[in-house]
Amino acid sequence: MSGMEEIKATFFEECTELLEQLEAGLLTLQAGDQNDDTVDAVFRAVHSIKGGAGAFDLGQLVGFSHEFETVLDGLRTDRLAPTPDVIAVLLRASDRLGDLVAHSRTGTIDTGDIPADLIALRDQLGDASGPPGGNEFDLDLGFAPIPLDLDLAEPLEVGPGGQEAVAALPGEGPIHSAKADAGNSATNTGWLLTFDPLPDLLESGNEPLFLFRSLQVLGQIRCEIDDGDLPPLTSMDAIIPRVRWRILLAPTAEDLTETEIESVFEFADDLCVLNIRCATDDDLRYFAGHSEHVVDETVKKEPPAEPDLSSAAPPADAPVSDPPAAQPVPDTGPKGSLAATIRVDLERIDRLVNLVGELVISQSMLAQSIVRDGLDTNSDSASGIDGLQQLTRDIQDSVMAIRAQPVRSLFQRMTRIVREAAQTTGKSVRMETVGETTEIDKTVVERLADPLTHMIRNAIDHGLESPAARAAVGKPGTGIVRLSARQQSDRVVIEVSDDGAGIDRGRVLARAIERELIPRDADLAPHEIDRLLFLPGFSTATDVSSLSGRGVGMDVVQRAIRDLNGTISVSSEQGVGCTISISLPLTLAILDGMIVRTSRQRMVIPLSAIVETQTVSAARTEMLGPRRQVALLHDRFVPIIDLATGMGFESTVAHCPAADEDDRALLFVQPDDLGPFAVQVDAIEAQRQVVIKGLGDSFGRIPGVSAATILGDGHVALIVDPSGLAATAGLAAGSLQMSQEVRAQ
Amino acid sequence: MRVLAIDDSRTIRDMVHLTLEREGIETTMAEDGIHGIEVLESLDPRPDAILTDVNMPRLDGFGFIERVRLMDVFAGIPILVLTTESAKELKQRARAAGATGWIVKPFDPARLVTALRTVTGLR
Repeated sequence: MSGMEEIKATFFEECTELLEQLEAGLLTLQAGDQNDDTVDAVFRAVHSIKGGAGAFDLGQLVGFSHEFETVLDGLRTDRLAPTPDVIAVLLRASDRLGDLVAHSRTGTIDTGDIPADLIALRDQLGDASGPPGGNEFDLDLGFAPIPLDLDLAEPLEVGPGGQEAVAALPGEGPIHSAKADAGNSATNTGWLLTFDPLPDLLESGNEPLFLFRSLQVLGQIRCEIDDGDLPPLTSMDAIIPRVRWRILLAPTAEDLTETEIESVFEFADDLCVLNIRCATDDDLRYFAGHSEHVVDETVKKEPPAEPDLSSAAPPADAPVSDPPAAQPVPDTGPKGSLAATIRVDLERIDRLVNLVGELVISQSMLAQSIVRDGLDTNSDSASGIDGLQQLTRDIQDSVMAIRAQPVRSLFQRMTRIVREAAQTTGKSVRMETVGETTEIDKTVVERLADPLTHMIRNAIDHGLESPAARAAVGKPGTGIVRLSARQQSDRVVIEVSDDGAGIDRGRVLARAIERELIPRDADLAPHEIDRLLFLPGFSTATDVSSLSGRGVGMDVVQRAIRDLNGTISVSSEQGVGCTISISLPLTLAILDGMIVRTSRQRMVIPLSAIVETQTVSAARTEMLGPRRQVALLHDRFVPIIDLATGMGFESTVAHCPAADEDDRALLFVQPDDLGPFAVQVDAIEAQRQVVIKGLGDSFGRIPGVSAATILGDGHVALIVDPSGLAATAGLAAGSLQMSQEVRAQ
Repeated sequence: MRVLAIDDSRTIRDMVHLTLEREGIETTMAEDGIHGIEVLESLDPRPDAILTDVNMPRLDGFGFIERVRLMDVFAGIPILVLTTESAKELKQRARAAGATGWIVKPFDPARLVTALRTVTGLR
């Protein structure tokens, strides 16, 4: 990517952040938190987008952000009150600005107009022509594309004066003899300048000496100092200039104009009295007679020659006279960019994540080989491996932290969803967010957007009551949708809750029966009824509302969450509200798992799904009918699935009687969408972190298997997907037969 | 030449950085006025000039200039204001704060470099 393109990419990245800040600020204002800082931040966000857009000649974006900024300036200067109506307009404008940025980014045509209500606000400010601060911002003039390609290898063509001077001026070649051109015209012979600084000149950082150096780029100069007003040394204030200069400029270029000379003094024009005129013969003769005052050094690149002017008694400018950069002192300070952050290609981080995964594997292989070789656990090698293990884990955590991202941006995106859904349903909704700084893997953040969107739409569409219904039960008219995130050990829990009516279990049950998702005589516990929501094709709304009926049900949400190795659950209380809770691993690359053996295979069961383990000999098991075996877990019986049978291996029970009965174990697992069940295995080997390796596309989706990993001894083991395992073993979520509880006697 | 450039927009910072470094001007960046003061105090040797945005969080460009002008060690250091606004009133405010000059955004790279050379007397 070339320099300018990279910066453009940065610009759009920054726009995303600025849009988030804008929206967050507007929402704060909407919440009635009227604060100057917030208003400033909101203004600045749009201002910065305009500034960047101007640099890339994105006219439409500039135009819109300019109007937007104008209105926000009204807010900032208290000419516009942040009433709910005004904020609503601004929020819509911020959505529109987001669309425009998106179009600018992809280079597609945006056919939308500037919202009429925004224009109305602007007109109301009586400020249609006057942009913020009453400046002369001009869309045509101010935002001409920058006539320079920063990617060119050649240095900029830089003249000593302003923009106009750039083209007209020669480089820094040797200065012609001005006298050779003398006599053609006054302009060729020379210019006479008188420069009389006002008291504030030095304090503003304008240094006469430097101005004269810039003049030298235009030609040869000779100076004369009038120090008649110089007070005695004892009463002199060094910061106030007390001398005047007369300068004869013999221009290098014949067509040097007065404007070009003036441009050198551009920043000082209000701090000095400057006179420029063509030099007369008398002037020339006068300066010729004062040759000791001549400054005739040709302009040198580096270091700048110390003032020849010093012989002419420089002004009392002690505080500013030292050009400090002449000495090549090693610079220890921060250079170039901010030390605080750097941007890195995601690809590079992913490579690092993969490498750390490999490191974890080879560290664990090394540890096993030490055990195999029968080395003492107190041996140097073993304790060295222990140290390595600790380090590996630290590196792993650090690398994962690089990919971690606060959920803030994700949550902020949801505010728009809330707004739109509220508008569509005609409900009044307030969104609350908690734990926005909670961090989670970047990929997870990105892939959560769709499921969260649907959950929030559901909460508003199905969860919240209409304002009238709310009033009837004594609830405030505005419903609350709460989005929260928190870290719980090595997982992040994200919840969407509403203070609506809660799940109507009677209706859910009726719908499930009607759709033949469950048997007519099914006897389900309340939480099992709630889980019916996740069944494919389920919809609680009796009529397809404008928000639902988009072909996305909670089953799709569930699948998306499960793809992230996450779990989803729901809890609801009649009349109080409903909470849908997602639990996600901090990272997609590493999994805490239990390594189990079955039918001479080793497999990994995710630790997050396991609620308890028991040895078969210690467990209380019963036969339920001829085929189904159940085990007692606390006060209820749950079905047992033999892992080997479930996975389609030969049954260990039937064919491997040699397996040590004492090792056989039951792992009680509880996938999010099913009741608990037990997985029977030949032995539990170890609890270990494993690096998740995808199966690759050629395998497609294998029921009961979520991924694979490489164990410490180099063998490949499959990672079990408990829900999938239950499904293949005939405990399909749809049938729910397994969930029918058998109460312990 | 060494320049400290302050702008809250990463885009503008990147552009300024690219522009100046291409001209062999060593550029240190800061994000806002407060950060600018911190960086300025940590720079050794001190920069030859400062370039600052106006609208920034925490401490804006004018506030930044006023503070620098109160610090004797930085007396007379040239400070250019980088602003999207070209109004006369803005120039007056910049001048009142103690600014040396101003560059209007979106800036012309050649003009920016020229202005820095003019106020520092360095090539």
